[in-house]
Amino acid sequence: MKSLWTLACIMSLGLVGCSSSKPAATGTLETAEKHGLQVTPDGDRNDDWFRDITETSGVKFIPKTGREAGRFTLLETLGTGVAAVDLDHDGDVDLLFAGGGDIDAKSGEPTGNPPGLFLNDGTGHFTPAADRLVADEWPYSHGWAVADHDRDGNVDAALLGFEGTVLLRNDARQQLVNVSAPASIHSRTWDTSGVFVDANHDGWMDLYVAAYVDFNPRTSTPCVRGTPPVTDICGPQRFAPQRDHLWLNNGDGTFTDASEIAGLPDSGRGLGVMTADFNEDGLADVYVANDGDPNQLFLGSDQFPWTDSAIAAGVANNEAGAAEGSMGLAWDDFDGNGHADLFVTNFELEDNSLYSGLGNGVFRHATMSSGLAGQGRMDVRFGTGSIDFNHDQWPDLFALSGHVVYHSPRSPFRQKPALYLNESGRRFRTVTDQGGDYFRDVHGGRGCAVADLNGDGSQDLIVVDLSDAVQILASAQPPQAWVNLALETRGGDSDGVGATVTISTQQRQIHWSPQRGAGFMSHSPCEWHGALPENEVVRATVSWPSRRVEEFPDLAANRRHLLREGTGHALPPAVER
Amino acid sequence: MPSRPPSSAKNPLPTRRVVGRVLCGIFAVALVSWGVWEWSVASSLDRARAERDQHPIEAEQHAADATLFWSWQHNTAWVVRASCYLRAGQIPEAYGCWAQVARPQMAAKGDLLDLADLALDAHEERLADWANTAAASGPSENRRWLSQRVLLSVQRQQLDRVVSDSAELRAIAADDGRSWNTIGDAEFALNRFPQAVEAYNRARVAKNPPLPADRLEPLRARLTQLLVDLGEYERAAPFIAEELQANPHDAAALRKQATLLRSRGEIGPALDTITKAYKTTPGDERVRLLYATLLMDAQRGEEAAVILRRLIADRPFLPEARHRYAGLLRQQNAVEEALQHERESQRLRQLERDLLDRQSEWSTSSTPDTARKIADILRALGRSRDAATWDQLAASSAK
Repeated sequence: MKSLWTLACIMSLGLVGCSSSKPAATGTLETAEKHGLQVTPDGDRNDDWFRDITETSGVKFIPKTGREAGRFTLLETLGTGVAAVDLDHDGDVDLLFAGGGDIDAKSGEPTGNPPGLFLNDGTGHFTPAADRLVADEWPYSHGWAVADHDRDGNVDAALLGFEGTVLLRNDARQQLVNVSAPASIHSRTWDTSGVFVDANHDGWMDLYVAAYVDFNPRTSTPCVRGTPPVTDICGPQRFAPQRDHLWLNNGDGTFTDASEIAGLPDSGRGLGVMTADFNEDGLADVYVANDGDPNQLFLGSDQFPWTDSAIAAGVANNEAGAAEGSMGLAWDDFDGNGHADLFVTNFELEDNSLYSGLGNGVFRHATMSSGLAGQGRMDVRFGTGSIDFNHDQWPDLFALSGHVVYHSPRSPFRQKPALYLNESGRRFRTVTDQGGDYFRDVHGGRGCAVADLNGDGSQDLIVVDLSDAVQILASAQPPQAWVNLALETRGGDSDGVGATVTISTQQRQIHWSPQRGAGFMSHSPCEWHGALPENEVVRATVSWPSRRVEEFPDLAANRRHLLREGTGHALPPAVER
Repeated sequence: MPSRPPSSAKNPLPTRRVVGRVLCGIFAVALVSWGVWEWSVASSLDRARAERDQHPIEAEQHAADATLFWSWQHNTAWVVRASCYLRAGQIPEAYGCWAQVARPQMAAKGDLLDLADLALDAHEERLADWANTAAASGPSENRRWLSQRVLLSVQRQQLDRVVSDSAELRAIAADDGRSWNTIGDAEFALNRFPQAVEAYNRARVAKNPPLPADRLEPLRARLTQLLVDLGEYERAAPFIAEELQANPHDAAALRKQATLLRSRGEIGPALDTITKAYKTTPGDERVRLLYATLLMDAQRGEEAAVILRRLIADRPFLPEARHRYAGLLRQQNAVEEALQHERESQRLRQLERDLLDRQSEWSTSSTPDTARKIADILRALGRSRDAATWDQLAASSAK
């Protein structure tokens, strides 16, 4: 029929080419259509785990990045951290915020923005006290390290930043005074985060500092990429990594740079650093989260140089053996097997990594088996932490997100954070939408800390976003009862890093391995905080770094207890300290 | 009675009439013959079109019949013939036929677009471009040729053009499955994965016209793999189920299903699923890796070790296999052996990173030195065949 019609066309009109196109085949995926896109249901707002109390808390602080200069430098991408610590020795948690800095639009010269200090009155109401921070000038800053480095009973700090680490001493007047020069701490690298750790086991807290890349904002140029091309930030892979620092505390107020003696390699772009006892030998180890390079683990040893044991321990790379862009760190016994696990947040198109501790310093990649695979894989995740927000005595997780480049083709600059609920050590379930308004919105999340700010027995969150006001998220559902434990060792690490604690409640036995440095460029109190279903007496068995095992049998609910080595009974914390 | 005209002048008109009649007759015969020939050509072409999907060689014979003599459909006939050759995988012959197309823009648009489609699928970019350009002489709102031009730009990595053309296509795509499929490919090429998922989803459910059935299955497989890669396991679940329904023994679909089950923590069913895939395709390295991993998840380390040892023996340049084996050895306290495998795994990973760097370097400055370095890395990764290609490139770019 078609041919006849074609012939007719030719004969009558002299036209050719009247052929028709192929008939379209039909077919649909009806089953799939039924399922369609999964829509995450809105959380029941009455059941939100957190509520924003920033306004009533009195905390008002905005760290700077220098983004306004429009120079698109790598420097403006990292953001800042927070330290939650009892600086004024009154038994509650105060807050220290790194100030970040500005970047001169013409010269690219970075300048520091002063940090913020807010003192807690014990009820979660804070008073600004920046005048207690004493320094002639501040570097463009990122992270905090916190510990009593001069052993005077007051908690001191170090502020890590670009071309400058500032060592601060908490003096008798409860001022944090810059003592970098007399302490001989001079850093010209891009220091991002750090921890105090007794690296040489002399009883004095040394300072480990993670350095990022060899970058100069004064001479850097932005990258033009994408289609259509847009001006944006150049990634870190084009800059050489810098060697981390180990500053050994001489015990006389001075420090010695032992980076070379310790054999620290210059192969990692360090962003996160944490100290904890990874191989359960009673010694504090140091773990470094690197951006795009294998992560590093330096096991505590009397002998220098240290060797990187991350690959041997199975905590260097992802499940396929590839390095990831690692940032934030969390440390807890998430699966309840009696060994601490490590959680690392990573860059976009990478999963966060959960390394399950198997004992003896061996870890197994457990992201997939824990249900965390694929969760927010398109996000760039930074700050994280372990927090039991549903008070079931199983540590849950949160992760803050936000991109580093302004125009990623894959995911937006501002991103939603995530909240993962631990289902009795078996799996994690994403419950972000029940986290409260902060968790339902998008941010440029970076630093964070976990602490009970208002003394209601539940852990609260302090979150620092890139260029936005810091936010205080209080637990919206305090527990019936609670207990808080901190350690104090005889010599060595004053916070008890290296110790292991078994806490026996009526429900279960909980394993606690103290750490410092979890979060991202931040510090949370070195303590165990647990919810109890009712007023009960808790027992703790502490295996101290000295290998002495000590029982603390009668730990009453709704109290903070300081477990001091060798005493066998708990003390109320701040006063006795 | 009127007298008759003289004989000499008797019938000049009849002679002319006869000549005229003869000429008319000849013209009529010629016209009819031509008509018959054109009809025959059209008929042959229709038969070729009808048969080319199933029997391209036979269809080519029909199309060849249509090219014996000139006809109004001469250009179309060569295009149809080229498309038959392409379907049969005879690429040089297809190019030969195209060379006979005197005026491509005179060929039937449908056949040109069909040829361009096939050439795109076969990654014969030149042929696709020629056919598409000829077809594109029509109105600009033709989604099909615009769609092909986007795909062509995607294949050629002409990302600027991908952006502009796919935006134009998006504006007119309406509910056309083929257009949304193409937009999905364009978004994927631009690394905009969430947007690619959205476009593929629209292609999947498009109704006016729907995506041809032969394109629906590859689309589904691609969408599923993309969702799995993005960690969107539960969104991928229904598509994986469909893939398995269509082909219960497909190793790729079984692997995706096993990954989905593993993400749910259902290790036993995941292991059963991957065991099926392993039985059908024991040589597939991704299946073997996942099989070993699931055996490890199920605390069956000894069996996993056997699989991984064999895989490493077969594919010594696979870093992931060594890394997983090292993980197993670590758990068995064989620390030194684990470290050896980890070091080798890291060395191979470094080579892979170097390869990406050099390939990126090649895209900006194609020097013989870069090509030689790429060849060296490929050799170190055990990919000697690819290395030989780069050696040739190095030699030709040196000239």
